[in-house]
Amino acid sequence: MKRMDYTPQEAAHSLLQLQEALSNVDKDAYPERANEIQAEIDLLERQIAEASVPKIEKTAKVIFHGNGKEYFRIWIVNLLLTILTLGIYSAWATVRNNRYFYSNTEIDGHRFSYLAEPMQILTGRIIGVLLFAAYFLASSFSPIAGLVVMLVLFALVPVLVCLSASFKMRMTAYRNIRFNFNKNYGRAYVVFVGYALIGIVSLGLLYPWMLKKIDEFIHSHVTYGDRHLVPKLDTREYYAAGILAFLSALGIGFLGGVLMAASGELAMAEPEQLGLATIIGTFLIYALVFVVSASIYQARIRNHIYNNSELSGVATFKSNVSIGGLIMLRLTNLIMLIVSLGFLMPWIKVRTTQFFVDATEINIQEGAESVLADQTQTGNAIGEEVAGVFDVDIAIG
Amino acid sequence: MQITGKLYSQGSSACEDVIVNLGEYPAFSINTQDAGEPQKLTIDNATVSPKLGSVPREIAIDNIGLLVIDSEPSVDAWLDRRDTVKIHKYEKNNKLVFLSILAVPLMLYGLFKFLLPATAVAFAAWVPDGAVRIASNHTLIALEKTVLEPTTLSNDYQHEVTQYWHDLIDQLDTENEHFNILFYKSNTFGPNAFALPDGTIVFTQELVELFERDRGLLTAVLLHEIGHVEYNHSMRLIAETLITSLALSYFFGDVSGLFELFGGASTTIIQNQYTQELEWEADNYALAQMRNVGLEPQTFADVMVKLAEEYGEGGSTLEALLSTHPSLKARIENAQQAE
Repeated sequence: MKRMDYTPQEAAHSLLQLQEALSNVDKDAYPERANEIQAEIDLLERQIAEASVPKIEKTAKVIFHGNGKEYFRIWIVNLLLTILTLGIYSAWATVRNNRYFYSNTEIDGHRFSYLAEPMQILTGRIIGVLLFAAYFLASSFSPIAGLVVMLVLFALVPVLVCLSASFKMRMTAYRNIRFNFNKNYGRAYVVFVGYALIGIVSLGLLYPWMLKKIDEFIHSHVTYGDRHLVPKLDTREYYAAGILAFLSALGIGFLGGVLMAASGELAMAEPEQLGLATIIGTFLIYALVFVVSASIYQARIRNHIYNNSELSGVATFKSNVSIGGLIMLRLTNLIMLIVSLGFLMPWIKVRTTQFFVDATEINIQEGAESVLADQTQTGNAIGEEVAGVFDVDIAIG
Repeated sequence: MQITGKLYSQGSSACEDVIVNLGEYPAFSINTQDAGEPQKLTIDNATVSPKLGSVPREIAIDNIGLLVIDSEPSVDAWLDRRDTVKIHKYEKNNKLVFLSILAVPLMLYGLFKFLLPATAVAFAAWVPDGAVRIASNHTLIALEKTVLEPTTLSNDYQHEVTQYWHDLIDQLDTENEHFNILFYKSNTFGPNAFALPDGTIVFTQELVELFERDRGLLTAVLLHEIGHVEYNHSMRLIAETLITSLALSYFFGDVSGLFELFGGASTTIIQNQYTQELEWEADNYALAQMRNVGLEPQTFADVMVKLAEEYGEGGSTLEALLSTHPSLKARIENAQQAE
C-alpha cells in the first residue's frame, strides 16, 4: 500500500463523483463544462494508473553459469564418496551439489548462495533415518502399530511441511540477505488437514482449489529479508490446469490402450512375446501419461504463480514456460537417463535448470537495494530431512 | 595481489564494488571505490566457502559482510592455503573421475548383492523371539480380517494331515520347535501357502483342492515353507527392504522428479531380486529334505508343474525383474537337477 501515495480519496474530487457529475451534465447544452470534467477524469485515471503500477527499474534475465561437463566431475566424485562411506558423506555431497546450482544462478549481476552446513543436514538425516526405520519396523512387525505410527506421522505433516519449507528458505540467500518462511503452524493445519479432507470428501472435485490453497499458503509465507512475497492466485487457473492435465492423461491412456490392443491383434505374436510387449507398452504409456500431464500442470501453474506474485517493493516475476517445451525436456531427459543408465544425470540436471532459468525474468524495483536482513537465525535441517525421507517434501518455485 | 570484488555489507542488500588486496597471508585489505583508508583485515576473522567448480569465492567477514571475488588460480591458492581436505582437487582429477565412473556401478552392485544381504542376515538373527511372535500374530490377525476366511475342509482332514506332518517334522533336524499348520480359504490368494516367522504355516484350501489332497505334493510345499522359517526369511526381508529404501533415497535422493517415476520401480526391482533369492534358498532346503521324509525331489518338480498349469510358467527377462518369485520354469529345472 505504501507506494499508492495518490489515492482517489485524496483527490479534490473522487473519480466516482466526477463520473456522476459527467453523467448529470447535459453535454449538448454545456459542452465546455463536459469537456472540463472529462479532462479531469482522464488526468485522475492516469494518475491512479501510474500510482498503482510501481516504477519498474529494470528487467533482468536469470543467468545460469553451470555446465554439464564441470558438474559431472563434482557429481560422480561425491557419489563415489557417498557410497564409500555408506551414505554418511551424502550430507556433504548434498551441500556441494546444491551449492553448485545456487552459486551458478545469477540475477542482475548477483548470485544466490546456499548456506546449509553438512552437519545440519547430517543431523536431520540421522533423525530422518531413525523415524523412518521406526515407522517401517513398526509396520513390518505389527500392521496395527504401523497404522498408529502412520496416523501420528500424518498428524505431523503440517509441522514437517513448515519445517522443511523454512529450512529450504533460510538456507537460500541473495545479495547476502536470507530468505525465510514464516512457520504458521495453525494455518498449516487448516490447509493440510482441513482443506485436504475437504478435497478428499469432494471426490477430487475440489482438488484444484485445495492445491491452490496449498500453493498460496507456501508462497505467502515466504519472506526475503524484511519483505514479503505476495501471491495473488486465481482458482480458475488451477481448475484449467487440472482439467487439462486430467483430460490429457485420459486421452493418452485411452489412445495407448486402443493402439496396444490393435497392434496385438495385428501382430498375432506368440503369447510369451505378447506378454513382454504388453509390459513395455504399459510402461511407455505410463511414462507418457506421467510426463505429459505433469508438464501441462507444472508449466501452467509455475507461470501463473510467477506472473502473479510480488516480492513487495523488490521485484515482480515473469515466467513463460511452454507446455510443449517442458514435455520435450522431460521426454528427452527420460531417454537420456535410460540410455546412459543414469550417467547423464548431471547433464539432465543442468539442462533442466537452464530450461527454467531461460523461461524466467525478474523485474527489479527500486527497493531491491534497501532490503534489510531479518533477525539472523540459523536453520536446522531436521524438518527438511524428515520430510524428505517420508516423501512429503514440498518443492518451492 | 590486487583484485576487484563485491562487498555486501552486513544486514542489508546494498552492494558496492571494492578493490581487494590479498597481502601477506592471512592479512588482506578492502578498499571502497570512493577512496578513503583501506580497511585492514585478516582471513582468520572470516569464513571462506570451499572451492567448487568455477563459482565465485564467498568470504563471510565477521561484522562486516560478505565479500565475493571471482575464482582464479592465484586467488584460490591464497584462500585455500590452510585447507586440508580438498574435495575440489579430487573433482578436478581426471584419473579419479574416470575411476569413479567404473567404481560407482561396481560398488553399488557389491553393496546390494553382498553387503546388504549379509547385514540383513545379521539383523534377522538379532531380532528377539518376542518381537517375532508379535509380528506373526499381528500379521495373521490382519490377514484374517482382510483376505483369509475360515476353511470348509473337515476338521478330521485337517487333524489327520497336521498330525502326519508333525510326525514328519520330528524326523527333520529343525532349529524351530513349534510349527503351527493352519488352513484358510482365500479368494485373493488362490492356491497358495505362506509361512510366518514364528513357524506358523498357512495353506489355502484352494491349494489343497488344486493338488487334490495329494499328500506328497502338499508335503513338498510344506518343506519349502519350513525352509523360509528355518532361514529366518521374513526378518531378512524386512531388513533388506528397509535398507534398500534408505540406500536408494540417500544415494539418489537428490534426483528429484525422475526419482518419483523410477524410485518405486527400482526399489521393486531390487526387492524382487532379494525375494527371488529367498525362494531359491527355500526351494533348495525343501529339495535337500525330500529324501529325509521319504519323498523324491521329482515330487517338488511336480508341484511346480501343477502351479505352472495354473499360472503359466513365465521366464522372460522382464518378468524376472518384475516378479517376486523365480520363474516356475527355472524352478522345475532346478528341482529336476536335484535328482
